[in-house]
Amino acid sequence: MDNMRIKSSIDRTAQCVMQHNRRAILSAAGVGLGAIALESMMAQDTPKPLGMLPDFHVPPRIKNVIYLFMAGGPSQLELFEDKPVLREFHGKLPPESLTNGRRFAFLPADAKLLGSNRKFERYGQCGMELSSLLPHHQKIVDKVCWLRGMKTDVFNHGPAKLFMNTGFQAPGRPSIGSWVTYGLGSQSESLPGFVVLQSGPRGPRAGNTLWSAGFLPSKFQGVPLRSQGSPILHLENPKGVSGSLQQGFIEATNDMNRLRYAEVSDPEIQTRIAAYETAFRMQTSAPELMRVDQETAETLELYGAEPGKSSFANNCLLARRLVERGVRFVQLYHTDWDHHGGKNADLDDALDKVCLEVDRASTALILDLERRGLLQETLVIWGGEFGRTPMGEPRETTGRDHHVDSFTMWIAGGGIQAGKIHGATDELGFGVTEGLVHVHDLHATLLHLLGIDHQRLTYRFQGRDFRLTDVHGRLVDEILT
Amino acid sequence: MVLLWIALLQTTVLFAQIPRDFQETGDVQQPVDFQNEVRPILANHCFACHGFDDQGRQADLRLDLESADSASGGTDSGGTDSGGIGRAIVPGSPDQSEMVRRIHNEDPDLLMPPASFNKPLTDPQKEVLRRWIAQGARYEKHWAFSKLERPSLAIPKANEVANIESNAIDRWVQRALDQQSLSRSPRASTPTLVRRLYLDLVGTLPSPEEVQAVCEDRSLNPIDRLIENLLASPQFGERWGRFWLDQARYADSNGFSIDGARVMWPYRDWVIAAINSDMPFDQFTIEQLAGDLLDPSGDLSASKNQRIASAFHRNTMINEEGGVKADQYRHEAILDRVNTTGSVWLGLTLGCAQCHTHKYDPISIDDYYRLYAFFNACADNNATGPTLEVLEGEVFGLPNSVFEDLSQLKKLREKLTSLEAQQKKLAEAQIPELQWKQVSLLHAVGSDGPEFLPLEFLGDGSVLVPDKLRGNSVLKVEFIHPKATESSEPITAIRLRTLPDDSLPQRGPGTASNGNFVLSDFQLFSGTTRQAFSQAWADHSQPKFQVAGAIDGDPKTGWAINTDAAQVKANPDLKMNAPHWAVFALAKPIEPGGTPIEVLLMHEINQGYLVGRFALDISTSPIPQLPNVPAEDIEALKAQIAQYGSRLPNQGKLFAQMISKDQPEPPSTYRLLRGDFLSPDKDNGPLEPSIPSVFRDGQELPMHNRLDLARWIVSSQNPLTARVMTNRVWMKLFGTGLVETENDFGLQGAMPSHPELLDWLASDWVDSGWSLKHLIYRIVSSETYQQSSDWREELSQIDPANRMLARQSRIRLDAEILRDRALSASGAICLRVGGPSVHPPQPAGVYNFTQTTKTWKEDTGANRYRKTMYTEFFRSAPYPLFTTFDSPDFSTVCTRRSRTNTPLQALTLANDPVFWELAELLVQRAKRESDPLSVEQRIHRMVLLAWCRDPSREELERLNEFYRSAQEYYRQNPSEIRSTLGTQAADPDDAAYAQVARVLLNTDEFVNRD
Repeated sequence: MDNMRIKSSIDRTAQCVMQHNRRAILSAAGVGLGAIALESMMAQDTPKPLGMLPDFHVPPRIKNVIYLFMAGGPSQLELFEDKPVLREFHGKLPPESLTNGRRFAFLPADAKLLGSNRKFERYGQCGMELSSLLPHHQKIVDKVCWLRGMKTDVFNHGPAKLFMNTGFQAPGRPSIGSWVTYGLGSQSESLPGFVVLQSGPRGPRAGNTLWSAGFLPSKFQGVPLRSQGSPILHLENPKGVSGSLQQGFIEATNDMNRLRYAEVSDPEIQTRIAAYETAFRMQTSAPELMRVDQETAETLELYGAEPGKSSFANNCLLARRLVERGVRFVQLYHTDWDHHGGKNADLDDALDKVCLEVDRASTALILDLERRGLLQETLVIWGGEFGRTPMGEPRETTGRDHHVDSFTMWIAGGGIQAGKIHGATDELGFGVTEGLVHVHDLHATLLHLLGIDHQRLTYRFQGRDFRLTDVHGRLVDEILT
Repeated sequence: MVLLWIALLQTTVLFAQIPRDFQETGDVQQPVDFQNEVRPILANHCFACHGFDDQGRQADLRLDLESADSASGGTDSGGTDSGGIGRAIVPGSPDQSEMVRRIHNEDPDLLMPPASFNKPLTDPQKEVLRRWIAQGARYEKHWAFSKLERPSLAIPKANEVANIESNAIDRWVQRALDQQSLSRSPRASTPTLVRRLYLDLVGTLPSPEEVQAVCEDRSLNPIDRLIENLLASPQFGERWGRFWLDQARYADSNGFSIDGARVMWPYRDWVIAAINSDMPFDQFTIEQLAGDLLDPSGDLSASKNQRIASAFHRNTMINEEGGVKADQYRHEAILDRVNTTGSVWLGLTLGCAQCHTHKYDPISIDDYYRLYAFFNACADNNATGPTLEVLEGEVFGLPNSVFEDLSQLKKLREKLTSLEAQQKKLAEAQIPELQWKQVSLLHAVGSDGPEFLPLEFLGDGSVLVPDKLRGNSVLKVEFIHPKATESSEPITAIRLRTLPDDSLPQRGPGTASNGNFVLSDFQLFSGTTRQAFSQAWADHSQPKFQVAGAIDGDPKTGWAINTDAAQVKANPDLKMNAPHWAVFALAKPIEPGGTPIEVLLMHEINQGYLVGRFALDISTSPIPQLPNVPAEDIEALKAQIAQYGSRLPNQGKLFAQMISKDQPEPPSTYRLLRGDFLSPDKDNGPLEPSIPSVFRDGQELPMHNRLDLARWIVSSQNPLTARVMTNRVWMKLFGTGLVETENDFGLQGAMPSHPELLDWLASDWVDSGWSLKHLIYRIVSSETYQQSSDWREELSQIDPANRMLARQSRIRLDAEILRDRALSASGAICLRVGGPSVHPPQPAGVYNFTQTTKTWKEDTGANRYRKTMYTEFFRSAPYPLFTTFDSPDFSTVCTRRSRTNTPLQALTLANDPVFWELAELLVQRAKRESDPLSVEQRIHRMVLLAWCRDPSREELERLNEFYRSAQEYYRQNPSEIRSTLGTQAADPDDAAYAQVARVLLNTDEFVNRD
């Protein structure tokens, strides 16, 4: 519910109260949906945010964000960074100067360097290095911007995911999607403004706190779209309640509320009336949204999506359908990239498997958004909560530990230079040598593209003006068009 | 709407509380109010660079202090001669004050505050500063830091009533209203008031009869009596206990990613019991912050509850993820303890001083780490920490007999444990060194149905099973232990050697196709007396086919010799198709005496799994006897334990409640540079525990431990706690505190709307002996509380946020109270107080999005309808109703919940089977209580149950109309009638009534407290 609509809904009922008797208020029940829809169409033409921000701070370059979160931490050294020197020193102890002062989650003190056995080639005009694990990505190397100098602060999964999502490593702060919908509202009348999808063998570590609204009002929290059963919790009518009966129920409830409003005049009652109308609309539009089978065979093929299945490919396709319907912030989690070298967590078969699940659909999302003209108003982000160490972790098989000091992500969409390779790391992949982008910087840049100055989107909580980037964050304008 | 207010408050924080138009007060003579007008401007616009923080201070200018500063004091900041910059503040002379010049400056390089600070001053604000300087630039101590004193009640008022203090609240409120020429709203109708008091004090609904009784009570103070009854109800402790548990960040799980379950509910019981017994708040505070330290002798009975109370600060999260470093999460927990203590008791945002000295409040980084030092003594270290064993209900008090039974039970359990350990030890004992002598077998046969066939004697004294014998054949051999001679001694053990043979599959030693066998029983008879074995060993046993299975009398267990990968990995030479042996120790040695000895090899498991070739040896070496444990003893003990258990709560199950404890030698605490726990500032030496300097006037005040801290918090030396808590109680009863920023009483916080009222109430509370019930009684018995909450047209313009209290507020119910209201309307509610958390129905798929799946066994009995505060709370995936209706996840302290109004809430109330079930139960209750009646009367009854008031004519008509349409629908579609109750017949009337009940539960009136 954006404020304008609430206010106008209040005005409307106020007029009703003045002009008619109570019976008349009831008969006005039917006008709700149409009037609100008309208003919102008008609202879309005016270049004003729909959330709490009175105006954009800078001209917005994008409207929506799709964040493909690779939960567990993909290995940049197997996917995006060819390190011949690392291969050369394979099996040797790393130089102390590089490991001093670094803390690792699991690595023993004598962990040896691990050269990757993957084959890399350069692709596209930008000449981005990709390993054979991501064959589909070859098609989009010149459409995305490669951030090879990513850096984060925390090295355990839960805290690191929180950090990537909220700018803070403990639960309790709002996630990016919550900040964005709080600031800008949503353009969707019948779907939540911030939607979360999940694929892979299990949910991401830290669970709901990753899309929590923190101290922001809970209406800004991410709404998980479930792949089984009804997509949104309690979206379906109770058993034995037909669509028409449900409509009668909503009308009766709202009529009772209108009578109450005539009595006590609390504008919150108007908000509740609008909330029930929206909920009813959501009941029809959300199932329609999930109808992946409405897509052409060619599109399904592009993504590798199969109607009725729960997969990353289906979720990518749903992400496109969501932004088409005006949903502001879509986040996909795919587990599990945590390749330590345990059973079924090696850098060979297990990594092959997850790449196969992700490569084609990630690529398809970019191609599909582009051909529909949606890429220029959407930002797509791809990456995990951290990268993986240059040292191998000897377990049952071979893997790598969590690495916070350098890893790779990619972003694409409106305002972003396509085919740009930004940042580089040292020969062994320990740290960033140029083009460092800290998590806070990524956040600042994301907000900037949406028309928000990250220093000016704040919320007063416990006596402090909090913001997504805390006291940090730098706009990475080197990658902007 | 919530958003609108927030936006409004952020931009007009100064003016919202004091509806006074600054534009019209340009008169220099108008006295300026430092607390209300000046300090907020300085705090918000100046202190960040010219305040308490000496690190961030610019131009060496301090505007937060009057004395010894460089602003208005004697020394100058830049010198009048250097660069032409004058003194910032020249009292009485605004035109000579640099500050005035700067705030009006048109040169962007000179303008203050600088444009880059993003907090420009408005013209009225500039005017206030100018007037303040003109009037002498006098400072006053920040109101909340000044000593709490009881203001005089000398407010003239007409219509004095007898008890002058009982309406003190109303007097101050009325005085403020008078200043604005506003009037109070009329008293709420009696049904509304009764409903409000029930929801606010006990969190449930009154029955229609209870409402009616109050309405018809003609005695002097029926409402007062109702209040007293509700305050005495055990449910009061639940309602206000939940209020406290928010601040304690109570949860039933550890948080972070794994988020395992924890035992914390005994602490919840303690909170409920303490509030029900109206424990004075000072004691309530001390026991929670330092209950463990009150009892250094460790005498259990005297202070077990106090130690449970100390769990307050064990509500911090624990990170159970692999690879976490305990020191990091111990540090995180300590930070949370400091910040929570600051928020809850001091109303201060201490967390700001964790990385640097507070920009606005006089809290330095050293102050912060001195507080940290109190908690740095803690013995818990992320996943490990002290616990205390508690019985269910123990916190509320149990009869002595229970503890006698428990101590018996403990002894029995210990005995059982020791017996079981003995049994296990026996089974695992190593085989002793024994001398063996092969026996000459006299007979050797195998059963073939009723017949016996001879086995084949081989040259080495072993016997071979012929091909013809298979199935479940019993092999029987006989030998004689010779009469006593010098050399023969009692037999102590017998050894079975199983041997490979070319005639056997895979060379045996068994007859199965892979050469295996399963010896289900090995028996020995001396004459006709069966001799028991005390123990068995083998050189190798197949997993799950241990040799002990051959002497346990159970035909379903036995000894076999196949190998698995792990065994071969451990011993690469191990093979199944090789000689193996088993040794059986006799429970009682067999004396030599020439008696024939018969040995039976039984094969009751699988067909054709016989021992194929074997030999027997005997030993007369002494076997060190381990004491035997008769199985009967263990069974008897178990029965006894069950019997004692049945007399105890929850079978005498003990729950390990986490509690606080200090290390005997606490580590030193240092200032942590930039808040980084890996960067202690050792150069400046350790910091001793103490309270912030501002509260000890800069004097040294060494303190020892948390007990000292707790005692200071509730001492009269601390100006904050009584104000902060009084304000928070007020907030709960009016929706907003007298100080709107209920968690910030610092310099950036809002000013109280009624400062004297707050101080009077807080003093009165302390004087009452910190009685929470007294404080609440004071508030809810006031006319101010009892006003109608209806909106008034004229007020919505002047005072939309209702800061002047010309009416009550409508408050959206907390998630817990909303469901409890539905539970009590439907009559299903179970009012049992306390105990472990419960599991009402929860939609499937809640854990699809979490790393680990939680166990959620839906309750079926009364626990299904317990108050919602008892619902098990997992931080990573709370019960969905909580999240939807604004409960926080309790990762950190919550001093105020937000109250939103969203479509997802509509979907939950409309479609969640939990509410559907309660709607049906509401219909059943109405039917029970009002049969046989007309449709209108039935609906009327349902309205009474849900709303506690009579419906209006229009309401009744509209509900009736909907009833008719639903009834029509179900008559035409009887197959659509579904009931969650299971037992109901398909009745279109009931189904239609349930739809009406559903409407009632979804109305705004149901979701709000009016």
